[in-house]
Amino acid sequence: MRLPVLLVDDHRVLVDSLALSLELQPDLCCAAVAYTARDGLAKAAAIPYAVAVVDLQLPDAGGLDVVARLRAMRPDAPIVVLTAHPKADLADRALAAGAAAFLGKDLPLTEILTVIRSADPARPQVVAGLRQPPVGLTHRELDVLRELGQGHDATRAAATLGISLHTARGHIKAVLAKLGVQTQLDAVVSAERLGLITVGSRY
Amino acid sequence: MRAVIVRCAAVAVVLALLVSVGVRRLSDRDAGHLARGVAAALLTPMASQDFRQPGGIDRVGLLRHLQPFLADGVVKRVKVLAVRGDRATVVFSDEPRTEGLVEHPSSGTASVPGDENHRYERSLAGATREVFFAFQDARGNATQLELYVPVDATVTGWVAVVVVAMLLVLPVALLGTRQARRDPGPTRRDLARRLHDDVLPELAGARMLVDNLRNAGEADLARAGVTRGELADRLHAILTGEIGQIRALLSELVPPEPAGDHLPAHFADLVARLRPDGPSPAITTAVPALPELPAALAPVLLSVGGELVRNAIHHAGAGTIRLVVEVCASSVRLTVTDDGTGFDPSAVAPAGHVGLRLIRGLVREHGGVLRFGHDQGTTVTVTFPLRPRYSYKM
Repeated sequence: MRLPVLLVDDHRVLVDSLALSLELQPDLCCAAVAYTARDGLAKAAAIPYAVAVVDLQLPDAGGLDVVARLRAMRPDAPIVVLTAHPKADLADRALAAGAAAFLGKDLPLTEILTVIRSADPARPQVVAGLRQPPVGLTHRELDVLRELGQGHDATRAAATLGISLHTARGHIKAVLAKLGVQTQLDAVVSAERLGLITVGSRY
Repeated sequence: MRAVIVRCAAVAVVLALLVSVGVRRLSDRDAGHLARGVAAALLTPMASQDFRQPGGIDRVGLLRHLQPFLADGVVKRVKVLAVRGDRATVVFSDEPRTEGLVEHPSSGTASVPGDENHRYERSLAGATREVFFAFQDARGNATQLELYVPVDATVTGWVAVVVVAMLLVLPVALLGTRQARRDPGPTRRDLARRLHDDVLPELAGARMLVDNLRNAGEADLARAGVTRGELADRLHAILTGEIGQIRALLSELVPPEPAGDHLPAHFADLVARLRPDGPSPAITTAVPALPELPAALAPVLLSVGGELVRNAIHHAGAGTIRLVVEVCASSVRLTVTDDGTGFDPSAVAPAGHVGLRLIRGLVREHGGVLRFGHDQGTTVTVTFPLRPRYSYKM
């Protein structure tokens, strides 16, 4: 019996290669490929699968939401998060949302396949070498910082995150203080240097 | 940005003030000039009067002298002041109510004071200046002729407004040019995102295919219904896409350079770089400097020329390769000729001609036409319009 794997990732080249790689394994197969969160949830409801592999960056929703909803829909099917942004805080959040593993996309294929085979929420696996951030920012502060890293201002950040402008400004102030910088630009630059965020990206 | 505007506004205010002062000086000079002309006509009859005696002046005669100037509006008011120490008493005027009022003796040109003794001058239309001329009356007493001359105040106001407006527009214009200067090419943020979100995951996908090529057994391949050749094709397609992406990023990163001026040098560099270490075909170029070449076309010519020469060197087995760039009418033409074996350009990505598809894309993107000719070798001609007729098309 081959283990059917659901793939939810909008990055076609990577996800198609992974799908083919699954097919080439004697014990694994690809149950379905979804390029959007919506399609992924629809296929999860309709197609039987044993493990789900979910990207954090999806065009229509945050991957963390997808993880939580898949977990609620199919508590028995472990979820592997496969992301281009292997960051410590995102790993914490993914596991908190119910993921069984948190992997970077640049991991060798054999390791990704090994984790897919052995995924178990009871024994969460996180990609080795995730640096614990040297600065203790809260998840919300990191969210706001990532908005700034995409070139958004406080107003836009507040709108995207669904918080008030006042709250967003408070987070920004806290981030500046914790990073020991004066300006938002400095905050983004030093946060990227510390590996907290990827400039220009959602994560 | 806000600081720039504040600074510009401050400069505008200061300049407007300076300009106003300047304009005022000019109008004072004009007023003085005007008044001197009037005074020259009036002082002779004035000097023959005895202003200290109540009956010593020919009021009707003097008014007759004043009348033409007052009627023309050259002067608005005329006063004669009897000066005693620092008191100057109005002893004659075309406005009799001012007679007997006391002013300070003055000289040259001055603004009209706003005091009670000048209450009758407040009602005069338009802005005026006082201009004083000292003379001695018939009895040799110190006397002053005071003329109220109109000045064009509106000029001062308008000049100030224009200066302020110009200086407020300045930072906006400045910002515009600065942004235009900054505009070409993607930002560091764009580059980071595209490399991180597109190029890197695609390379990771390519590596998965390499792992599969190496590790998959025949049974696995048969079960999945793919062959190693198909895997290699997929890998090839991914890498071709990567080359295109990275090349696109590079051509965006290197904005207007190389300009048409330096085209000969750039092509010489290009050929030097492409020439293989071992036995090499003879490569000649004929490239003129083209100052009029649109900045966007120069890197395209170089990319396409480079790729064609590379193909000729590595795949055509050519002995001689010639690259020519020339401008004819309203187009620029790049020709690469070799005496090699040639290849079939219509074949789908023949081995080794990975770049051909990219060239086609690049040429099409810039409104160019790519032509292959075969006659004792291969001639590839690429023509770009210099003034694209459909330039509004994106």
